Amino acid sequence: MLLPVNAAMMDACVLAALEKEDTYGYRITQQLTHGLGVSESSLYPVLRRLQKDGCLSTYDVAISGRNRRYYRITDRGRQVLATYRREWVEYKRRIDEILSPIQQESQEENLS
Amino acid sequence: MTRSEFLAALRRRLSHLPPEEQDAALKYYEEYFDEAESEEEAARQLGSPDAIADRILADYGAGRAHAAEKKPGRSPWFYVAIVSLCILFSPVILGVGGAALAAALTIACLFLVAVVGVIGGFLCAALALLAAFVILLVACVPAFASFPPAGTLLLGASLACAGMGALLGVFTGYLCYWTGLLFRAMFTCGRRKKGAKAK
Repeated sequence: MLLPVNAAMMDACVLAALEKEDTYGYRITQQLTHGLGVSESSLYPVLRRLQKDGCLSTYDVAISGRNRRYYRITDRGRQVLATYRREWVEYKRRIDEILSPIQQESQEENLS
Repeated sequence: MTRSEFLAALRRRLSHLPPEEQDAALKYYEEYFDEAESEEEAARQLGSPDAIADRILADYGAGRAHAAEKKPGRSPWFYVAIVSLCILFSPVILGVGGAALAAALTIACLFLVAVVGVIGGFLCAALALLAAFVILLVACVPAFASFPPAGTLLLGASLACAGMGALLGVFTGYLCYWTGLLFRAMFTCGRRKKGAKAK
């Protein structure tokens, strides 16, 4: 992607993915790196930071002779996600205001 | 790069972090290798373990700096807890405070009584000697008339009383002066301490 995704956006996307369902490291990494065009190495620090901030918790599930660590969104994570969603709407509105192309009618008005 | 090479390099680069940080990171990347279709595919996707370690270290440092910034401010709950504890233990606090105040007042009173007693005692003794001097002086006049040696004795005793009385009087005066100095020193010392605290 031409426009880079910053740390706050990464947090928001991880929380949004976990809001849908609990998931494990490899899966969420694949989902988000393909969706956002970021490198595979960028996901772990985000997950660790969110975990330390109390936005997500982990639990291990035994699967084919080993443990798979699942991530689950916490109540605090949901609050943070709600804040990010509001911020994103506001951000999008402001950028759209500046970026949106000139309307056809107003162009004609200017010409006449 | 194989799985074991990758993980060993990562562990080496993270060795300065606390054990739980190392374990969490290693666990995540071990799992990544386990889940990936192949070892080569995972290693190719993840790239250099050094770069990964650098990101983890940078993020850990930033998190720590952030936590350190937050630390000095105490949460309002701390103050709420302190106030609640004060209210809860007010009988104890008042009791102990009252006892301390009573003890301090008692000591101050005893000190005052002692000072007044000693000074008063000396003053009384001086006055008594002065009175004895006057009585003996008056008594020696008829004694001289009837039996001169007795008169002389009484006069001598009277003069001795006068001398001792004068000495005691002077001493009592000094005692008052010293006590005054002591009280003034205590008072100004206390005021200076209060002034220093106010600054």
